[in-house]
Amino acid sequence: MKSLRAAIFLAFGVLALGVYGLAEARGWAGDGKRVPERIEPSQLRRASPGSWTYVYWYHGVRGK
Amino acid sequence: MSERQLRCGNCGADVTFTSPGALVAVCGHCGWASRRTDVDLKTIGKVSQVAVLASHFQLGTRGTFRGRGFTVRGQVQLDHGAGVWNEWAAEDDHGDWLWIAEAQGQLLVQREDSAPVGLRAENLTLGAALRLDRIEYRVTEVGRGRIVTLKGELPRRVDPGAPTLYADLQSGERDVATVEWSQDGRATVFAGRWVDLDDLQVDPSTQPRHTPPRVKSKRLDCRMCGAGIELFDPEQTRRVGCESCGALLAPDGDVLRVVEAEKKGRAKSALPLGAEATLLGTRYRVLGCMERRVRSHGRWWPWREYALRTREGAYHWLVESDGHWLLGRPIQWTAVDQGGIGVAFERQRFKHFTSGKAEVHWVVGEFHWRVARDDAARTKDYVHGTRMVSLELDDDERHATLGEHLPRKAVAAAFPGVRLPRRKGVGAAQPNPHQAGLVWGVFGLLAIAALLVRVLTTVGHENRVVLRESFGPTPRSNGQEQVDFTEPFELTADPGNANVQLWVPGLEQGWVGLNGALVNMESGEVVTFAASAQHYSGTSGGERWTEGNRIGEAWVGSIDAGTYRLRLASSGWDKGLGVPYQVTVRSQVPRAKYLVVVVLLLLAFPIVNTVISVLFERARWESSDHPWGEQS
Repeated sequence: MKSLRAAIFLAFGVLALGVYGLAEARGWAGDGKRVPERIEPSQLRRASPGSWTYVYWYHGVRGK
Repeated sequence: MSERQLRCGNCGADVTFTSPGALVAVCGHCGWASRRTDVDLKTIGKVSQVAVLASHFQLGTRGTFRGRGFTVRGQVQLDHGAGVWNEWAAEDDHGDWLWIAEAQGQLLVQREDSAPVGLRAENLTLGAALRLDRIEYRVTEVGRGRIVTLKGELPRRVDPGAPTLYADLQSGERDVATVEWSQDGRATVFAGRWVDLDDLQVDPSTQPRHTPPRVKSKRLDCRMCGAGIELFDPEQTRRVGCESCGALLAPDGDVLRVVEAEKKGRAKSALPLGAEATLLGTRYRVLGCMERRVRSHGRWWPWREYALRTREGAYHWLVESDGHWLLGRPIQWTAVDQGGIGVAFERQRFKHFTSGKAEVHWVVGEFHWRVARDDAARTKDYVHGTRMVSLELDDDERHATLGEHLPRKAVAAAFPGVRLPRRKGVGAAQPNPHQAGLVWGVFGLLAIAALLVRVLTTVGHENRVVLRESFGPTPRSNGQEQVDFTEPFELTADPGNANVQLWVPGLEQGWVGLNGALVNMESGEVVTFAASAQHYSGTSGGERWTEGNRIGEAWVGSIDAGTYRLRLASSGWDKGLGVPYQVTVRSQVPRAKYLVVVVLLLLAFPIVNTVISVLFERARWESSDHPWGEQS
């Protein structure tokens, strides 16, 4: 019983450590958000420096 | 060896003395015992036939003990009230005699020793100390017995049938001494120790053909109710409890004499009497069952004790209490160190569990001593893990027993088809299945592994400043945002994280908020984040206080390698003014938070386990004399 419990705990611990190592290796942060990628052409026309639409237009990608 | 033949004083037949050290011999023709004098034989009296007891020895058996060969020359059968046993007189190569006793499956080798001058029976009361040949003994039993019969040649005078007074003494785990007083008050001391059969290196060709011989059962009828009772240990049985009527009987030849009449309230053995079973690798026969009980807190606390006999003739106990089982075997009283807290045995310290005055409630089946209902003895139980040391004292005897917890499954397997009592609560020596030691050990290993991961990530991660730029001041009024872009910078980890730090060194009484976005200049992919800093200070009750932090940070994860810029939309307020701020971006930073989370996650398991374990122990000690909360 005690050995079984320890074995289960060991398995759980190894899994947790695996996730920990993976999170570090892959650079998981968990608190970064990605903005919508689709931009309507009409929004582009109203783009002004500093706006999100301007960001997309400035870099010449996404939605153009 | 100088043999000498003398004429039997009773029948005139030749009586052979094979050893000059032999003083008494039994005539093989007429069965009279005679004592040798300088010139002839003086008869002592007629002796009865020896009972055939299971034995490893017979007259002529040879062996070697402590480097000296010996030959068994005589046999004495004694009874101290707990059944007849054999003592064998053996002469060794040097002409010295040793006595080999076979009692309850155990072997004891003793030599006659000189008795201290003035050793009187009244001085050797229970527990008294006696020093013999540099060994300090304690008296563990005093009583009266008798020599039942004898055979062969003996080195000392014995009087069959004559009562003797004796004291049994013990020292340590194996040393034993016996003092016997003859009718004229002369004390004889025998000192020796318990041995294993292997210690005697017995020549098998000189042993009895059947070693030990099979004990035949005997069927008798209860004098009270007429029920048939089968005795499985007829040679040693002194009391029998009738399962049908509850009467207590004593075997007397081929009849069962009534000692106590039937008792109301049916006694019932859960295990079938006479059944054979293997427990902890030893084959046993169940002989009898008695219920004993102690009175505490206004109620009776009963338990059952099953008398077991091994094939070698040793008596052990199977104890059942609230469905929990212990297999007990006798140990030397003096092997239990009763100094200090609790007791110590075999280098283990046992904690006191319960004490009480135990009395016999009912008995069924066979017992090898003269048990009676309401027999009372003081008992003390001590536990260590799955073992229990029980000490039992009455007016004449002291007994120590070592019990080993038996899982219910083991008992059920040993007695298939038997309905065992249901288990209640936690047994005194029941192993704690929740003991967290092993789990804590695993936690230790995992914690070390987690630290190793941390070290590896610290060493292997870039953890480099890729951008440090100052902006501001933030807009003066609430609700307004100032948007700025940083210079391009490179993130090389693929993928990796980025730590954005906002530092507002001039912030006094206000806050700065940053809605940021990490923009990949090649793919245009955008990841947003937010960070804030706030700082307030003042004086209250004459004491200066501050709160908040001029530094805020945000994490952006799983970023592909590439060239990035930050879009920073800042807002802030500090006593109505905008404040400048600095942004620092670090690439691929190891996160201490993850280590903390993992360790806390891992810690939860052993902590919960420990709590359950503690509750289990609490339940165990509830039934002791030291329930939790009352322990000193």
